[in-house]
Amino acid sequence: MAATETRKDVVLDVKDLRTYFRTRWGEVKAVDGVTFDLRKGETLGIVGESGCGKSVTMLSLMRLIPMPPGRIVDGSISLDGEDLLQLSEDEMSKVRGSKIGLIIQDPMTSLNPVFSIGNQVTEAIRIHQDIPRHSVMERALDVLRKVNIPAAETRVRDYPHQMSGGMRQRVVGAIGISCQPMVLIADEPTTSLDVTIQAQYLKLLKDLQQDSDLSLIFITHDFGIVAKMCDRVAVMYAGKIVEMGSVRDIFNNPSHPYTEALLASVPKMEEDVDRLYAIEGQPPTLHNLPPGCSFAARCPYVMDKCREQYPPEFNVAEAHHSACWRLE
Amino acid sequence: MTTTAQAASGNGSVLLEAQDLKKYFPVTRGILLSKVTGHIKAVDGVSFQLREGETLGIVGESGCGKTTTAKMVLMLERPTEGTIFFQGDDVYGGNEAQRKEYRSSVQAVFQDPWSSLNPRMRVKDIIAEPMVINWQLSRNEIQQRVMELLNNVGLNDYHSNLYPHEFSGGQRQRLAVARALSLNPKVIVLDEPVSALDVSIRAQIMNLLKDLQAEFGVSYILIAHHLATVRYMCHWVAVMYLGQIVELAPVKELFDNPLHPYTKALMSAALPSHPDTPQEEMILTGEVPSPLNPPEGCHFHTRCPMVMDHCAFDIPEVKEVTPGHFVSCHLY
Repeated sequence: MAATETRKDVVLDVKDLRTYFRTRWGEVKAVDGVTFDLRKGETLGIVGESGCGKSVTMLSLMRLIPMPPGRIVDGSISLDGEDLLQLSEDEMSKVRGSKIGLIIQDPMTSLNPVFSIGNQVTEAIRIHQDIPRHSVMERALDVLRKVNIPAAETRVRDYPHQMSGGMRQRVVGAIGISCQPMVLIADEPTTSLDVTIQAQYLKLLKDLQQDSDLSLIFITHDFGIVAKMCDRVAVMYAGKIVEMGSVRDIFNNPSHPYTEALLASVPKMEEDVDRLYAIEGQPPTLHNLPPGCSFAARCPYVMDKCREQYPPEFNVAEAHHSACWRLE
Repeated sequence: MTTTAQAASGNGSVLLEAQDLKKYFPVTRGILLSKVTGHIKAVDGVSFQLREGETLGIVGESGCGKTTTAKMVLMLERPTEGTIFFQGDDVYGGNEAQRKEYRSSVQAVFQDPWSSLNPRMRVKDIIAEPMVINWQLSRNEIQQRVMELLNNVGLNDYHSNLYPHEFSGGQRQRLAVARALSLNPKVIVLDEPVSALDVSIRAQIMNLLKDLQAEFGVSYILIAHHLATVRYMCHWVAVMYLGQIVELAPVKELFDNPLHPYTKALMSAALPSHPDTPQEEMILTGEVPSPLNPPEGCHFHTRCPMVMDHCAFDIPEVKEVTPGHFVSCHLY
């Protein structure tokens, strides 16, 4: 009974997603069997280093993978009970922006420099919502006020270059939420912002979420953002989720060696650390993955079995699982 | 900033000292008969000291003048006012030979290892170039020194024949460090040396830089915006806001007892290292004002949560609150 109750809240259910790219070095398995779900009003963090597949996962959810060379080989993405991978391109473009919103990293390039702010914010509303033309601008002003743009009435006539980075990222956020999506994906939304502006922006996202029961996916490389913003975390390495659990479980009891090492390698502001733990070596190249566990070459606890067979997911605690042979 | 007091509280001898450095960039209008209409005060009266074998961190947001300060230390920008003393000598007062010597004892490692290494040069030539220019060494000696440097930064001899594109980001940053070390410099300016790297690689480079400091006794000026990095790497920290140092203290003192409201705000804006870390909510409103037209009085008063009436017109003086801890704020 309890299980069906929780299933009800699930907004987004991703199962065994595989996105491969054909390159001249062979097939690159950028996302290789990723499974997670997202509940209503929840914030999920997807953490990993560059090339681990976190951004490709995000692009697959939006069906924005350039095809060719990429293709979604397998899996299902069900949003509100509807499998996005079965939709036609036309149907999908109705979902994009209205049911899933997206905030990408760089506000300098994600806004069009030759259209005014007002034009760009109203675009999504005009396309997705059936409201009279004269009230479209009112809706746009509403969302701009929601993201705390001062003097929104005059700012709508501005062009992106007239705004600062923080303001631009707010506008991108306003476009993201303009059609009240169920899921908002934020791909490193604050990496290009200054620290104090980042704090403002993160608080804004939290407030927006509380107002409208929005589900958020945070794609980041920064455990600090996870600690501050997320309820659950998925740690990705070489195209796979290696560990997933609630934020507190992951921070207090990291059970995959990669998670453990990543957490130990970040300097802390609150305490003196004599020497940071450094993970040896480099992340593997995805077109030439070794058999077995992809982290084996850098893992301090490596066993013979790790080099032969990829570990299945082991449950560490309730809703906390990790793919490592040590847990067998 | 009263530099004598800062000296008294440290242990190493002062290697480099900046006194009241200013850099104003003119803003012009018109093309042919251009008129100067104002100045961007990128750096507006900055003083600090760097001791042997120590690291001074400069933190602040974009546009606060930290990179311009670093460029003046590297002699890439000439200060509008103020001077830099290196081992007691005014670096801008010397002759060409002295300036050349200064330049070879102060080296730099930049943020982006993809653009700071020439893609058309082999690693051995990149690392050897400063020595070819500054030292009269035979080809053999240079070759030997290149190998030694590569080993110092954790690379192998066979890497010397490769080109930069054959390396990963972390390895490239190691190459940049090797090049900076080649002339046995006394000071290395590190401008955001790890922020372009992946999380798991950052710790490797930070540890390497610390090891090299312990081994060769080189001093670092670290430009960074990430406070935890600063805490890990530095002995002294200067916090900059709109071209001025608002607080300067030994690293432990600054993190245990931040005084300036801006420093406090930066710390509360920094991301926690654990979800249960208690955090003060002190979110600044607004953005950094333009350095073209900074606010009167205390530059920070427009965003300061503790603002008082006279902050708007009185410029706060630099006060030494506890030995070695300087702050410029009317609260103290």
